[in-house]
Amino acid sequence: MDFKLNAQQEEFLKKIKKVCMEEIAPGASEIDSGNKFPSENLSRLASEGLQASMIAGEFGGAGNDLALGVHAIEVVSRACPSTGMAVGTSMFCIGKTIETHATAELKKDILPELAKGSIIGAPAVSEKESGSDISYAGTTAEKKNGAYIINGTKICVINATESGIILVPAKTGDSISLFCVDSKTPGVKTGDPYKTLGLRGACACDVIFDNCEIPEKCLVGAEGEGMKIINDALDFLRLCIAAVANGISGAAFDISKDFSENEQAFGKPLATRQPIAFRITDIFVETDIARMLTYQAAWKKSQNMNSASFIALSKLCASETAVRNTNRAINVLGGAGIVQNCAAERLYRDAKLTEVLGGDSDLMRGIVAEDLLDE
Amino acid sequence: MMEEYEKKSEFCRPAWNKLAEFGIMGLPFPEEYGGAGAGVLTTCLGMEALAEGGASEGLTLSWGAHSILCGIPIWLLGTEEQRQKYLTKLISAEWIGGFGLTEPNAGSDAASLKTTAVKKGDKYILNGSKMFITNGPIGNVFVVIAVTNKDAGHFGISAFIVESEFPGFSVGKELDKMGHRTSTTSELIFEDCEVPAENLIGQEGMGFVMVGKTTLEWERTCLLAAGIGSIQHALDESVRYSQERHQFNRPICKFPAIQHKLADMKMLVEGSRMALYRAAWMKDQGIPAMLEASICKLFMSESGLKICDNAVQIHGGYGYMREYPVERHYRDTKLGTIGAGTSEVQRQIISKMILNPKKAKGGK
Repeated sequence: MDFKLNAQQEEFLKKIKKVCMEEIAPGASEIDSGNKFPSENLSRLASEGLQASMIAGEFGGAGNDLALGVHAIEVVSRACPSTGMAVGTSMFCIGKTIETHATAELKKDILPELAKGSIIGAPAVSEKESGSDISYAGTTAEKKNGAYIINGTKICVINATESGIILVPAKTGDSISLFCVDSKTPGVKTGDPYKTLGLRGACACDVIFDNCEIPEKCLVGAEGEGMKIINDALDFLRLCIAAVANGISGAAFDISKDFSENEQAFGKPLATRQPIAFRITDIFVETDIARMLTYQAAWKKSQNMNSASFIALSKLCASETAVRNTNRAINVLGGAGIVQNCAAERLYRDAKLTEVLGGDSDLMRGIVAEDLLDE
Repeated sequence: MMEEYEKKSEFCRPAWNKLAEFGIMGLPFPEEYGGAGAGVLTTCLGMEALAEGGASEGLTLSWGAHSILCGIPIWLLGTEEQRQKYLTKLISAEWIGGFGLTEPNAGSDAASLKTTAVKKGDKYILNGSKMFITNGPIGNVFVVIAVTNKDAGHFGISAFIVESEFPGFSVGKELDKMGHRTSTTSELIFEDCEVPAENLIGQEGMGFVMVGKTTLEWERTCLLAAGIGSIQHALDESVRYSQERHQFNRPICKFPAIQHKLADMKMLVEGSRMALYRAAWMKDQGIPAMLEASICKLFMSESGLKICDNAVQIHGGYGYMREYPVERHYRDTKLGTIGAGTSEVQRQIISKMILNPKKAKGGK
């Protein structure tokens, strides 16, 4: 068992961290208040090789595993959770799913573009009538003259306003198939970005497919195999969300530590007050545990071990930990933590979304329990 | 077998001897003293397996006091003569060992220790008492911490090897505990107790440094390893019970309210396990793990309370009955947030390591 990354990976993370702290963190508040997709941040991170980090060498990537990926998304999210969510969703849920399941032709078309950061991906999984129950999909894909015609509406699609490709599960006959749709295809329409509670930069919106015709090669995996692949894609997405949540927890620690060390109350630094110090200790300890579980989950997934329940467990732990920790951070900062657009208030809202997105805590507990009872 | 001793609240000598046969007493020690030469992580895995198999926490606690708290300082800081004389006997289980730091009026606050050791010729004369000492009533040898120079603070504290046969040594009455009932506990009393000078461990004044740097890190990993096995056992029992117990025409594991409890337990078990393996792995790599050991101790013990609470809840009325192991786990696990530094002490240690308050500005 090893708890360390290699020297090259450490070096890469240091580089990403520097860019994030110096260039990305200062703009986090503006991205949130403006409901603004962080395009510039994504370009900047692409120039540092973030989007290429987990893609195989033959497609222009650096070939790192998921463990490095969750570390990197955590670092980005510590500076700006919206940016972490946007870029992570594309890297994990789209990039890794395409790399694992798409045909060689599709991979050659898409992966180098994802690696360069010239396009980003959006997962269009949920529908109005079915949140996490994909089998219930109302969206259909009809095969016609060597093409598929997609019809239906997906909701809460992260990255959709800016995306180049959209991953769409749709009914083909009685079963589900998965498609990778170029967002410029005629018939693809994106709605206005939602005004969400948090993670506002990772703009979610509706995507409508209206007689959208896509070539056959856009099928990911075999026809009718969509459920299996989506479960894989959801594993990747949940790893990403866990990493974002850990970044939020890390940021909650940073602001609490900084504030308590520098601010005085009754003539003494806040950090010398036991309730404050212990509260920050709890942030630190629980973040530490959530991180270890997330790293372990990523490692298991990259070893192709049966990891769905461990990933659900780490997503559950990381997201609920982030909610508790941002709550604690506000208690440390007091009045300074409840003002609109201050970091504590923003992180508090961002954290809540990690609990809900990618399958909520109830669903995660169900997955964990099912696996326990199955053994 | 353990259940019977559990009911009688008695040390289980047959199980103890069985552990010795399997080489458990010598797990972390070098082969030249009869040990197995296992690393910290391997020792942890051994203890975990033992507890996961349902071995009583009392037994593993006695092992911890014997092999870790008594054995480790003799091995790492003792002289070759001390190792030959005492460590070999601990490993073979010919003798039972223990460790005396806590006093009636001094827990984790080592500065308020009252037991003194005064050098007289080739002997140290010990006076005072030690409280809550695991293996007290049955131990043959104890590592005892005493003040040799009360003006030198932490550097005025020394460690001694004290045999129960030394003149002036006696044992108080056996203490009646909430849990860990197969492990015996008592006060140790020193009345002009004569300890040969060669039984000093290391140098005079090294007692506290020794406790801090060697024993406690081991304690917060290896001793906790049995803890992870116990909470895993509580989870396993709960999974099994929820599948067997039927209510409203279905096994209770079909109810989400039960499933979600199981999931929460699993999450806490896995988080604790990661914290434990990391701290043990770091110790094996020679990386200082004071922070990680405290995190592990704090998180695992507090998780243990939640896990065992859920385990009893899932078992319902049966969980409240002595014949179900989760009832025992519920009581045993409470020691976790108290022994080897309470949760509050752990939070204090961690907060000092992670926070660096700026000095107050003048006039503010």
